Amino acid sequence: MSKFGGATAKVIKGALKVRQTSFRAALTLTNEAVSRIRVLLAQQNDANALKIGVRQKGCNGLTYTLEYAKDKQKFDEEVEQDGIKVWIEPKAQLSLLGSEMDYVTDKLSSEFVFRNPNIKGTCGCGESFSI
Amino acid sequence: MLTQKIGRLMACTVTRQAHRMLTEQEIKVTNKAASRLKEVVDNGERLRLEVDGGGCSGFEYKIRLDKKINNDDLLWKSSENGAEIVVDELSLGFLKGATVDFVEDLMKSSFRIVNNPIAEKGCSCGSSFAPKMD
Repeated sequence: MSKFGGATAKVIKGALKVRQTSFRAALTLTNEAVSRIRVLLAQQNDANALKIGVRQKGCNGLTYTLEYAKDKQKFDEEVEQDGIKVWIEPKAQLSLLGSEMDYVTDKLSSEFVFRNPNIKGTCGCGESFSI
Repeated sequence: MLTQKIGRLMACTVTRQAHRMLTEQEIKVTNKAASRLKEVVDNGERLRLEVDGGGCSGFEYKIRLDKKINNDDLLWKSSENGAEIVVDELSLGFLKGATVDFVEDLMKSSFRIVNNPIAEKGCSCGSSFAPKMD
């Protein structure tokens, strides 16, 4: 599928930072997430979007993954915001519905975080979640 | 007043010298971690490494910035840029021989403790581990 390296994401249950829209968007990106994705894509010669997937993994069942993608697959959901594209693979779409993708920075670390209203719980570090 | 200041300075010096320095066999620190640490610390701040009970594999690493230094702390200092790391004696027992790194990937950039010879397995994000039984 993808020749780029993948990584896994932190998931938080609960309220969105961005004000809720009247309908449930597939995924909302914060300004910080958009900026970070723009930086990441600019560093890649042949990636056109970030692709979000989901894997059976970790102590709480499911883990989101993130990787560079060149081509949109047939059933990928596309989210475009401020010129930045995110593709969501079919298996991840249902559990991500209505979520917010953020990029949180402090002195010791910076990372993508998904605020997900659909999940039941996460493990302590937030990498693994159940629905 | 001046005597008080000198006294305090001397006490400080004595206190600092009392903290045993960590050896290369005890803690390794990558250049990237030392360099990043220098960038983020305020004056008098150090990176504190701790091992706590918890997480999905039984024990977990805690990494934070700390201006305090305690009696049972051991100290690592970069010969390149003077950045400092402290770890208490009890926590050192759980991570002796490990490496402090600053890991960057697509999703996250952060300080991490890697290659811990005492850890048998851990969860996939690397913050929790189970010690080998020996």
